[in-house]
Amino acid sequence: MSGWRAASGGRIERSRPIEFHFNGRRYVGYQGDTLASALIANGVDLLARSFKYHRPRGLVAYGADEPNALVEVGEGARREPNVKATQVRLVPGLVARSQNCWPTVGFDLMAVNDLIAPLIPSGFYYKTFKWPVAAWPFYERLIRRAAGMGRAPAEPDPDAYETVHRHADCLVIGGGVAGLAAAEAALDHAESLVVVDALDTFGGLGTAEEARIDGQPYGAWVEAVLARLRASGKVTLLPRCTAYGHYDGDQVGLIEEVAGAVRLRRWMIDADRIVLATGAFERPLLFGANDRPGVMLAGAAQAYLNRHAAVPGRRCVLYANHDGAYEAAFDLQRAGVAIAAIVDARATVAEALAARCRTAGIRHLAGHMIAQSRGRRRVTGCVVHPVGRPDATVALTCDLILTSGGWNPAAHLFTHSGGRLRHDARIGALVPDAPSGPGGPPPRMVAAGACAGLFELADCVASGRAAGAGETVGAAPMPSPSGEPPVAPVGTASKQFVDLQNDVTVADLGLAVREGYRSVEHVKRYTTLGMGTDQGKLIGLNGVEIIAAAQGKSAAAIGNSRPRPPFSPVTFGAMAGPFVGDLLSPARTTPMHRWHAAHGAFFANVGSWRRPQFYRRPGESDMDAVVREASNVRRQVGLTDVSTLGKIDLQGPDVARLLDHVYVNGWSTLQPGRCRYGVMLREDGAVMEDGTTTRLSDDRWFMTTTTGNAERILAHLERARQVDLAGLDVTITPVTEQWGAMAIAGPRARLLLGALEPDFAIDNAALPFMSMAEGRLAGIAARVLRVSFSGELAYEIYTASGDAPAMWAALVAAGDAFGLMPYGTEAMMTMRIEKGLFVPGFEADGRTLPDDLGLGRMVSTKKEFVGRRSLGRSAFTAPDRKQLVGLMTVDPTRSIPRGAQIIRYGSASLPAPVPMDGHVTSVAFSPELDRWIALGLVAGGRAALGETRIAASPLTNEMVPVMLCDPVFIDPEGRRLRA
Amino acid sequence: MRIPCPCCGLRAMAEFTYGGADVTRPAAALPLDPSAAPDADWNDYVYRRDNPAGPHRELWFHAAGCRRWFAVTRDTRTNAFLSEAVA
Amino acid sequence: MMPYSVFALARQALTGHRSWPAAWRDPAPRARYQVIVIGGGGHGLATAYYLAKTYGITDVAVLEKAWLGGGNTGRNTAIVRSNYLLTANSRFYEHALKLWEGLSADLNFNVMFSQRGMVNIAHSNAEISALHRRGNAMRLNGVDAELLSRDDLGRLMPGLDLSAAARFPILGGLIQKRGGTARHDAVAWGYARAADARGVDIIQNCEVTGLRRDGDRVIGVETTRGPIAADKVAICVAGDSGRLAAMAGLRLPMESHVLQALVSEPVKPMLDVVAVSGALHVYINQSDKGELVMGGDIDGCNSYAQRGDPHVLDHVVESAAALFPAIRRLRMMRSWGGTVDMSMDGSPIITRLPLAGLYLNGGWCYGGFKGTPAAGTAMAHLVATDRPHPVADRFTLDRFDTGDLLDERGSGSSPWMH
Repeated sequence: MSGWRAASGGRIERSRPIEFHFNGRRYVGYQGDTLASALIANGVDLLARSFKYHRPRGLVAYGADEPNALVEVGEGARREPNVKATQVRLVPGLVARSQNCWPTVGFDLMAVNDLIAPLIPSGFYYKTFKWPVAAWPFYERLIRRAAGMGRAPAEPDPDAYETVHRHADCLVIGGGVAGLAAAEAALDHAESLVVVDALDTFGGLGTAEEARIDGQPYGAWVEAVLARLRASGKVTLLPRCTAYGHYDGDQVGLIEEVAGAVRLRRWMIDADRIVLATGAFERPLLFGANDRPGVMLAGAAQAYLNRHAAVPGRRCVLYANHDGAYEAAFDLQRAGVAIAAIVDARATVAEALAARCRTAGIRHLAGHMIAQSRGRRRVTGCVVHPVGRPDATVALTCDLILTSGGWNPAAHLFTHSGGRLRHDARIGALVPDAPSGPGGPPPRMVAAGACAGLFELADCVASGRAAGAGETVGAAPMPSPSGEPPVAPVGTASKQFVDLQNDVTVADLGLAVREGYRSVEHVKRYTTLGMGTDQGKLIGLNGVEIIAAAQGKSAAAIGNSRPRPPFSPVTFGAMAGPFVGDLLSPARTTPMHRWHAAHGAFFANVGSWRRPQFYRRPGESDMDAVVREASNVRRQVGLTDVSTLGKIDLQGPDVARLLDHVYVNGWSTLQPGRCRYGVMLREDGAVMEDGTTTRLSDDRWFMTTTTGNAERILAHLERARQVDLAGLDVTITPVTEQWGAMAIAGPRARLLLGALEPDFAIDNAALPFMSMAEGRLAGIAARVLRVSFSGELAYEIYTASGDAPAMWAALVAAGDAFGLMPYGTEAMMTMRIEKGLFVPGFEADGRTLPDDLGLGRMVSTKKEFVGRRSLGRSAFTAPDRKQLVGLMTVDPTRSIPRGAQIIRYGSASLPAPVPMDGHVTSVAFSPELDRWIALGLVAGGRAALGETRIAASPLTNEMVPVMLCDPVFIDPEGRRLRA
Repeated sequence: MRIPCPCCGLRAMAEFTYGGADVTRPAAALPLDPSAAPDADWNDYVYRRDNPAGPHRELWFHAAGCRRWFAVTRDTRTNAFLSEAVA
Repeated sequence: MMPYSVFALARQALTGHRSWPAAWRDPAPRARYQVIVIGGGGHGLATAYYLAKTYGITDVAVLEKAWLGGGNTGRNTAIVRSNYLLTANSRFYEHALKLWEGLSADLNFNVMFSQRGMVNIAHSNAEISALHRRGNAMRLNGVDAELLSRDDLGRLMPGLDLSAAARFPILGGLIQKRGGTARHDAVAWGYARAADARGVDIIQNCEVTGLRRDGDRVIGVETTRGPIAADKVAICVAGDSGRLAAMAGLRLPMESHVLQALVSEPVKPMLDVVAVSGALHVYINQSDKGELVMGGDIDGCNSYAQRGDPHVLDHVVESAAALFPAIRRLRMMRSWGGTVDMSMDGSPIITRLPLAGLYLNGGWCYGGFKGTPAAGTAMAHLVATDRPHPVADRFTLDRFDTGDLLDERGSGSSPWMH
């Protein structure tokens, strides 16, 4: 319990205390606290256990780089695991707890892993658990249970998320000094700006309060710039907003925390210019047991103090290798923290700085390093020695060790875009390099300030302004480091953690290199270095330098691992946005949908549509309903909604030429007023689509497509018109939504049609099969096609969508006298199977040719069309191709299993693989034949009609003898549909 | 990624349907021989592609927009659009 | 090779793991080899391993342009299954699955092959029928498959949304219990270590820049580390097959496309099987580390960029959240893209090329990882004997001329549709 709250200072509102709970205990923080700062102020320093060894861990960092303090926040459906305490704003009633420990974070039995650590170095699992093979599932269950971190959420997330798409002339990522300077400079060059910062306020973390910019105090300068940005009317300022990824076309994804009707708002910004002013992450220095609670980044401690008056200790040792870090010690000392010593790894330190230490009465150990921390659950001291002289140890007493090994630019978005980083030895960091060739960053992204490796305030301002004005696009950053190049000595102690979250130590990296894993990527994957939820932000160059040293190479020579998006984890809800539930893919409904719903329809998804499968009456089974509906069509008349058919209006003098190109059959001879059935192929010869096209007049045609193919056929037609046959005078208009459509089918269909008092002739001579009439029907303008998908006398009636319910109602009212019943897709399928009509996706499954479906004679030999030349391939004309046949059970009382494979008699007893002759494509119980029938594709099937095979369904333990027959089960002469 | 539609300008990729490499459909040899096996040109047209790592001439259909088919050149290494033209 | 075992680990623990040998050597390329394998991914390394193990050909170099397993081997979602409809594919992938079942022992390297079950979820009657058809074909081909009711699915996946009111209600499923996942990096490392132990030179940071030929024969390669002669050259560079083939003046029936994947932050076990929904275009499983691993369709336009468009990942997440509504509160930790060879019929190509001594293994579409052991076996057989391996004898190039295609999805010659 070392942390405390300073009596004054910080940006918290002391008049607004906030109660919260952590691990079941009640604490109080203030408005303006984060969970992390409030826990520090309340003296809570053991927050978590590490992933592998379950070692006690506390806070290390201030922001997205925090590796340790992962907690579970919230309760019930709003419980969220793996939240970094540094990123949780304190709100009243906040409930948080430690995770991945049992029974408690203070006493965690899984810490036994720490004791057996020598047995489980990096990659141990590749070397064991292999024997016996059968035991791996057992080991794996243990591993899975031990791994993971927080508990998975168990209930649907009740919160809402949204996505906003925006264009910006200039997007400034990071609202610190460099970002604000860039935004202000960009005002003269851009009409729209978006400026984002992850914190609640703009101004950044890296600037001392007493600094001056343009002669103004820092705080006043920030306020003045913000005022100018706001006054310009051009700028969208987004605090609490993190840029997580850069994507092709200079699109940047942002996540904004919104406390309102939506939980998170995702912004997708298409930006003309991007200024990366994302600052830098502090690099820790390594020593033995550097993971104890009480070891922290210097800049983090400074930020907790200066922003929240939360002080993480009473007696502090600072371990650093650059001048800037000293300010943390001076700040803490001013707040009342005793500074036990400043340990500087550099042999020489500028005299002015040394003098400040002397003046402040701080013990200053230049040329020293920390070997080891001391303590158990909390730092109680450390052992220090001169660099290179591990024997000359000095013991220091402290409850807080701050480290700073320099700063590494947060250039993640730069690398997302393909940009390369350059190792800058002067600052011991990787900085954005100039773009270079393919795979390089887009020239419209430029880094400024600390993200460009510029750490002096004046450089930040200047580079920001230049970036905002568009002056330094793609240029290398200006040099600015002062003092000696940093050194980051690594001692020999055990348990020097390079990756705190994944428990990867210096020794683990050495082991990986010894074992031949030399590439940074190999070491990373072998040891899991940097693969945690902090995505290795804290590791900086520590990993690369250790891996390089183990191979006797320079850090620059071995390169670096490329960060992948996202910069920090993105809530899935924010990615899905509103596209959940019914909005996942909004269902399309027909004009008659309400009628169907009110009349017992059971709906099914067909493509993007909801269609009635059948209308079940009280006491009926699903099957009963289907049989009744189909029988009624065959005996009397049925009515079905076919509005989902794709409908395409074709106009112009060249339509027939277009149709000749896309259909296998010819179209120029089709007379106005007549319909024709057509089949379309892909260029590879497979059947893609079938449907009816009607010639309304000389230069106006009307095509219908299968429900699921409407968009595809439209694209196909447009491609033929615009690309392959460019120059045709045809206008193609999709009119699916404009027309409602319904079919009446059955021997009494003409009587029913007549009862609607058409103002056009409907007798067989005037309106024969495959013809069309237009006029008024039941007083409503209608287009009537005499086409049939059931094999019965049938008409498709098209009206304007708005008139369709009235037409439907008129048919229902008039239909009473003729025994009309509505029927759904199941009865429709039953009847088309009885009629041997194929459906794309079932019989035509993308491997089927026209001849396989018995349509060989339909294929024109006189014209070129899509797919024609593929049909002559040798395998396409082989006699053993799978051909469409009908299937009937030998025993008429048996059913045919769906999805059955067709095998020969006797082969069922063969050892696998059993040769398969074909398969069942569609199954139905035929009311007309009073038995189960099916369509199937069977090798050489047309020559084998009358033979028997086995419909084999091992999945359902069924082996059913079936006879191959003609696929047209009823009315093969087509008398009914021509009646 | 935004795709430069010659009619609508830069629009989100999700509005478009990809049409593959801009390969020219070989003209049919006349008179037509319905039973002939396809020649090498045809099989190349249907199946074989240059598949370059670099500039790629390709077709897009602005399905959720103006319904224009057009050809553009895109660098397949960077997804940068290098030119645009109406097909 | 120092054998890996729990005893070896314990011995090494006593000495601070100081004396583990390198898993593989880091040799300089020699002037010539009997066989050069281009590509140090799982397929190339497996090819080299089986050349040495099965055919006694150890004068082999594997040339890798960067680091072992850094291409698709290290970028896939590590799913292993053999639930194919077409017999030629079923035969091949089942051969692979049987090899997977003994792979850790064979390689003396735990590739963490986990037969946790591969579940296909159906949302419509048509999909149920299609699963029956596929499952029946699997069973007749000697591959395990079982139907799952909605209740079965609920027991296997407690977080699955089984409500009838769902936008795409779940009606049933099919499971291949022997399917599952493996640790992708370990496959590359395990094969590399085992191949190295048999004398294969594994040469990283060595990019092939050209093929050396003598008339109609290939006689070696040009590399960034100088020319290397060889009697036979095997190309195993999925994603880059087109580029290598172009060096031989060939155009292939395939395109390179980007396939993205993502993982969530790790959480305690919530999904023990691999779940796939074809209708929703998503596959999802949970790694041993606790991350939910997800993927969907390829972006849909030719790409070598190894990164894709964010809207594609959004769709993956929307679909995953439709299956498991609780995951909306989890977070995406990492996303990436790999370049896949999309062949024109969706099935792979393992074949001799018109240039004598030159062989190609590519066109793997989404399926390269699970095929690794069989691809290595078949490629080694082809290179060693000049005859196709019986489990891969349909994976030829001439099928695109004869029409003897292996179009598992029936999507035709638009490779982005497979």
